[in-house]
Amino acid sequence: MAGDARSGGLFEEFQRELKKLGGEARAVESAKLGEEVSRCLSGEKAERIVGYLSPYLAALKIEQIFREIHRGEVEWLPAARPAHFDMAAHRRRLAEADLAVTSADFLLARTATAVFSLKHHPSGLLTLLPPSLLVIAPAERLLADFPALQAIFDRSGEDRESNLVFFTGPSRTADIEKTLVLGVHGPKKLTVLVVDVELNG
Amino acid sequence: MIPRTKQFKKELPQHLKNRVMRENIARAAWLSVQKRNERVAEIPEWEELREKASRIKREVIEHLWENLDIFQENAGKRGIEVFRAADAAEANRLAEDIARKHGIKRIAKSKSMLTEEIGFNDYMQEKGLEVVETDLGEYIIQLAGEAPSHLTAPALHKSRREIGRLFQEKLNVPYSENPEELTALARQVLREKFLAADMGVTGANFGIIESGQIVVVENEGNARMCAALPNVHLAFIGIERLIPRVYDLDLFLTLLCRSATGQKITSFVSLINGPRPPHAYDGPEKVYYILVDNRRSSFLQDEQLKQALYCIRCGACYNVCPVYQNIGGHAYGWVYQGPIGAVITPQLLGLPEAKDLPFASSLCGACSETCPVKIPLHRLLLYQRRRIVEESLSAGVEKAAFKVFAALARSPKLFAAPGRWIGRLQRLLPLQLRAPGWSKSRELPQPAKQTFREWWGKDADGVIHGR
Ligand code: SF4
Repeated sequence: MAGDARSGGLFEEFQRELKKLGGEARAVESAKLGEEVSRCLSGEKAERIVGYLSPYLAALKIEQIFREIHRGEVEWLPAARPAHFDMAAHRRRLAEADLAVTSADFLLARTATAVFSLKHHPSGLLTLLPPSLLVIAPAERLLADFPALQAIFDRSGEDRESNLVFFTGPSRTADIEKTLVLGVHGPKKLTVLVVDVELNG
Repeated sequence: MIPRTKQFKKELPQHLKNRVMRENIARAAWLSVQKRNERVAEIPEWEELREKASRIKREVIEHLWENLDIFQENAGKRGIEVFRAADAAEANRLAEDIARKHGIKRIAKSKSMLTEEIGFNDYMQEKGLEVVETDLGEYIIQLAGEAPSHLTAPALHKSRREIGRLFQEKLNVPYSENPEELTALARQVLREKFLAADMGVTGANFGIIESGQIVVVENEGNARMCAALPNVHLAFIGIERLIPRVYDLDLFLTLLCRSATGQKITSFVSLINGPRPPHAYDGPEKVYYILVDNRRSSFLQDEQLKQALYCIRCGACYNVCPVYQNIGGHAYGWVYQGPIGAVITPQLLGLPEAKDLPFASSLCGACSETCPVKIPLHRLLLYQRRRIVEESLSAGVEKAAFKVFAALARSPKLFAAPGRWIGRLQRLLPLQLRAPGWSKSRELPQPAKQTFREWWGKDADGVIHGR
């Protein structure tokens, strides 16, 4: 199927571009998500984990996956924010977390960009404060570029004026003698798992 | 920032003597140009994109006042409170009022040229408020008590050793000159500052007319933190920063990111939405915009200078400028440097304040070639020179010389004569001619045996057909 080949091609491009920026993208089957996540966690110090339980991640049973592979606590932010909520404590927790887990609304292959809209992703700080970020997104959310995203906004009538964040590769600076250093304020490590990519061949 | 533009000529030798700074700047500028060129070469339609962006900016600027009204109205619909400031003093006063109203004590700030322009930090600190720069480069120069030396890389002039010693002294940490360690240290110190801040201040790369949003483009994530972590977010926006639609971002981000840092896109591009909606976990409770004029509207009255308002502050013209590469950013004496600085500073500060800047150019035209929004920078430099001469601000000798030149240039006969006579005179009296300033460090070359016109008039037999 042409569509399948396309998702494979886009994934390869996304992966290649993200690698250039110091991040990592992997294609995973939904059935093997647990293995892949556990592989991601094994390489780093990830004691304190905060995640956002988006409808997509909930459907993937992400809570259960983490219960099986991770001994420590994971704090999951429910999709609907509880009415009583301690904002200051939330900020502190995110600032002290080692790893954040979330899903992206779209992925743009050309630039290796993850797109988050506040509408579907109600914590802007989650993708920003912890030093490591794990993004899990379905292959059908993988698009070529910004114009492709526009086409979707136009078709779906989705609010294009929503709070969009385009996140491309780990946070970086070259302020000291033009030497590239990752992770100055935002995440130093970025891993993107693209679920159920139809790979070529 | 207090301008030192008047001292430009006087202080120039001291900047030229600073070997470390010159080497740092030259190396960094060269690297930036290389990276920019690679990224631009990937886009075959680059020229069309420049043309398109230039056209869009022209349309926005032509109807700037209407566009500002629409932008302001749309921002208002998002629950953003918008103020307009005619000048720096008003912008700072408005910011102070906002801070007082919310009982603000500590401000975390991201990089913004506009806040440098209006002297925001000094103003707020005088009023007893703490302002911390959170962009790594800006933090470094804030610690050093210095001014930025480049649009997108403010600490470009400092070496890793200088930064290592600075951190050791100011932050009381062991010396390191490893950029990785220095950056990790800054992250730690600034993270605490972020959590303690009760107001975040940012600039804006773009304001989107149709949606009333602003766009912040950055690599570190600190600007997004300033906009999302504290309870109050205040953005300073130059009135010329507008673009029509959200969808124009593709074009403008392509041009800006590739020109500024040689990236396809920066790590973070954030569209600021307004105060936290009820379903959100975080984000500010109050969002303010201050739209700052500060003499930008004076550009609108001038058909030529208007074009300088298209600038998207990418810094690419700095990097390619042979003058900037040699004298560095500080020599320009104020916030805006390089070719665009030499064009707009005399307008922003007034011609007499910065009358030497437009002359700090070789007019090679590299800046105009590079500018992603096609500002004819070298022409505007010439234009500013003319205004300065016309306003009788340049030295008397220079003016007189140009008068003589103008008289000569109007007549072919008169124009040819001095060339001939100087050559002959020089051969008769073998003196070393001197030209003020110029011959201080070089010898004036000997005039040729025949003038160009004489040579041109000769045919193959060497016969002169001159008149
Ligand atoms: S004048 Fe052009 S090249 Fe220079 S900073 Fe502005 S947009 Fe960039």
